[in-house]
Amino acid sequence: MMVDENAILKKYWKNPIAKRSLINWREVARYAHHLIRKYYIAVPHVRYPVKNLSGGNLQKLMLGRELSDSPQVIIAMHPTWGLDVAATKFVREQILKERDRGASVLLISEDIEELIALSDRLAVICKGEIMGVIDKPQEVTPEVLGLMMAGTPLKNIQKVSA
Amino acid sequence: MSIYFRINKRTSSSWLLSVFLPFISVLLALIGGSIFLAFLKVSPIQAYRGMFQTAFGDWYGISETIVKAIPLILSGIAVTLAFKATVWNIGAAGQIFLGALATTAAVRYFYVDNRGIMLVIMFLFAGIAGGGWAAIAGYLKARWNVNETITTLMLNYIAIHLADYFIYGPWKDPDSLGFPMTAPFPEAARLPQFAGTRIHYGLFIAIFFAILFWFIFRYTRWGYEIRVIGENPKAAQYAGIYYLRYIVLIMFISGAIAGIAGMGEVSGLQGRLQHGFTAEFGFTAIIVAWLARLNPISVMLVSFLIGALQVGGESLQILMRLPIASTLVLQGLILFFVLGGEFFRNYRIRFIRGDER
Repeated sequence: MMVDENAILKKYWKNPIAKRSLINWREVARYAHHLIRKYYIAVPHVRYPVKNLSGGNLQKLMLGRELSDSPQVIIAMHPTWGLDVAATKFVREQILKERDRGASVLLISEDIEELIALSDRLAVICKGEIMGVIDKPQEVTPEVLGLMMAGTPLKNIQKVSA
Repeated sequence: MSIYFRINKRTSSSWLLSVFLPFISVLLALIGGSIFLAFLKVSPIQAYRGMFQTAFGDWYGISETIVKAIPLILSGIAVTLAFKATVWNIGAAGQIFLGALATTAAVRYFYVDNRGIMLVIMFLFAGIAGGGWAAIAGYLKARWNVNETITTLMLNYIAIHLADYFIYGPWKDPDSLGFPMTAPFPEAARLPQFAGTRIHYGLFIAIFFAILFWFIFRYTRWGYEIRVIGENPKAAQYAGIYYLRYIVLIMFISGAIAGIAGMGEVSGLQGRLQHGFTAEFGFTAIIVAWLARLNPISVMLVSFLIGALQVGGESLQILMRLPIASTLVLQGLILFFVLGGEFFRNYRIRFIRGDER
């Protein structure tokens, strides 16, 4: 699949990308260029195979494809998995930007640093059970999170430290 | 000092390469074929010249090449459609037989003495029979995830023997002196032929379908959806494309086109259904589709070339007294080299001297 084909995956049946059953490829190219500019995707041209993109650029393309419709709810699972530093920073900024716009974001991750940096509220799950919800993740230490991840409920930890 | 080589992925495909790659591949195949011919104690140059002259040397040769190309175009497009969606329809051969069977049934049981109406009835019969036959495999795939490569292949044998049952049994022409064939179709059930040649109007159907599917693949939502399904079924599902229903539909249309190829053969060319009226072009269609890189317009071109190879191959039998298998070997070599050449479209090989590492 080419970059432009991938970009329209969720709107290829909508006007102006498609009129009735016909796809307007000029409009598709215009839209793809728009995404490339807005999300700083490094591709030689829009007819470039997606499979040859680097992980960071691929993630940016997906991000652009999904966010361009201003969704109300975003579920981001390991959004920066395997990305380089610059791409990671970019993806995180975009997620915060969506939050500021008013979207509800559910971030699922195992990267503690990322969770602390991005979350407004943070719930830790161990063996399918929520160990507690932290209202101010920026004030909590990684040690506490580590204990919760290993199966200690939040209220027990507070008892010990108090 | 030693020499290593390293295989790198190409980041961009060069225009020059994509134009010349097929030619280089065919050239290498012909060189490979000449070694094979030399083993048969035949002069390769003489053999190739004979093939070329038979296929292109006069109008008769060209017309015969077109005759061979017609069913190849239709079944090539049938296969192309399925392969685009990575549905491996290997059963064009069986669908062709079902189309031919249904055509014959239409002539026997629903005969109308009006060529226009009769041809439409035969067309519909052939399409529905071929399509239905393929849809069996499509449904099994969609419902229980049965591997369609195997089911379509197996359905071929059933179709061929089913056809033989009718040809040897109830539909056998009593005046055929025991030959396994049905009675000749009446004039109204024949696709017209061009004066003085065996080229029949199936050519128009073939060209029509080639252009139609080129347009569909390129400009329509439907073509886009097929491409998405083919390249990534998960993404298709994510985009809201109902994958399972699509498989059955794609199989049906693919089989229908193959069935119409079968109608063209019995109604346009042979004028009756006979034993083994076509065995191999359902499989040759797979070669055609790959060589054409799943582009319907290229399918026309490649069908013409393969048709020429077959007509030329007949001259090998007559002029050089070689068995028919020798033509098939040449075809196989071409496929092998062209598909092998595809590797170089995506990768480049760099040779590195040992001391440079």
